[in-house]
Amino acid sequence: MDAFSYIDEPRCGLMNMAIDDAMLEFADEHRAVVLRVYRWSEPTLSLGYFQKISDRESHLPSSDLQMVRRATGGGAIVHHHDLTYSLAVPQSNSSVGAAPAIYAAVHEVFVEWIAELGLAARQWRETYNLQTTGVHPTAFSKSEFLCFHRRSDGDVVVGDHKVMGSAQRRGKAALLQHGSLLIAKSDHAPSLLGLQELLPNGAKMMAKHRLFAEEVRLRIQRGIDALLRVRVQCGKHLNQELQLLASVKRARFAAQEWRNRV
Amino acid sequence: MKPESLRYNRSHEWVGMTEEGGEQIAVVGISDFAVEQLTDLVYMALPTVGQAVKAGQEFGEVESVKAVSPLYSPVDGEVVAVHSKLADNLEKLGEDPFGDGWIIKVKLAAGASLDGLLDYDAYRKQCAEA
Repeated sequence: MDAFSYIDEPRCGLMNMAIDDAMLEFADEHRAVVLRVYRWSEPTLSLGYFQKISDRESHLPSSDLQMVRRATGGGAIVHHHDLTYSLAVPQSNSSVGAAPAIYAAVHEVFVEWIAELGLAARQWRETYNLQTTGVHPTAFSKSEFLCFHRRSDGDVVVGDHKVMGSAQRRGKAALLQHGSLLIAKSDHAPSLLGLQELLPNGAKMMAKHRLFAEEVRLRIQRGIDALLRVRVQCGKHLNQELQLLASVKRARFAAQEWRNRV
Repeated sequence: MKPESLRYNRSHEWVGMTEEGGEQIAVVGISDFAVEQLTDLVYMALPTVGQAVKAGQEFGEVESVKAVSPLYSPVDGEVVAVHSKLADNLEKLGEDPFGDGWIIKVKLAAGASLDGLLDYDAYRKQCAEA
């Protein structure tokens, strides 16, 4: 199985969603793994697939932001000082539900990396949380507006702060995993801290965006290599093909029918 | 409905025929295996009555805590009933997936059949190999 990865240029929300969808189609059709690490050209709120658009009213700091609806579920994400990745993986057409191994493989490399940077991170577990920290899982509601205020098994946390979350969407014979790593606090989501605030030397990180993205790409790539036993190659040449596919898909994400679906 | 009498998609939707008002109607749901694999269901999107469905095409979606998964129709036809209360009572899918957990009822299109679907034994074999 072929596998490709690349760092994309910052794009608007609609194009980012359309390219993610194009990746899912590409993975299905070509039986190839594709990893894309990217940022957003302007601060954008991405709403989970099943979130009500009216729920935006409950979060004033992000009320002025451009909004897109993701194809993946979960809570809303303020894409401002975050780094986003999408990973499309071919699957059998009889696979059903989440693929926890892919989820865990990606998140584990971040736990290790954050530990190397000097912070104790872990994958959040309901049972672990209750037994070890005494904090009851229901302290973190699954219906919170922001994804980073929710907790579910596998989320990457530093202490009580969630710094990374991902969600998946199944296609016919492929799976898309979309995730976000909080690099720094945003004025549009001031209740959330990123690595910049949590790490002792975090302030330097924002000045190294490009290097940071490359590190993230390489780390995820390593996780994929180990899990899927593939050799990930440079995927920059896919950029044009995926953009072409995405230019057709973009209209779907722009349509009121999609934006306001619930 | 008895699971042994149903036909199945490879993607885990089941279909069984029943007679309602003198017409043959296809009842569609998802299998116990699928419900178990999906785990922790939180949302479900259902079609509307009158909507056309096509075998192998999406007719709805379900979200578990970590994944959105499409539901694929096993047959061609028109939706004549939707189990609308299911979206607020997703536990029914786990409690009675082949009965009260039904999702939609479909009036088959002319010429539509269940011939290309898996029978119970073939479906169970697929699940065992998963």
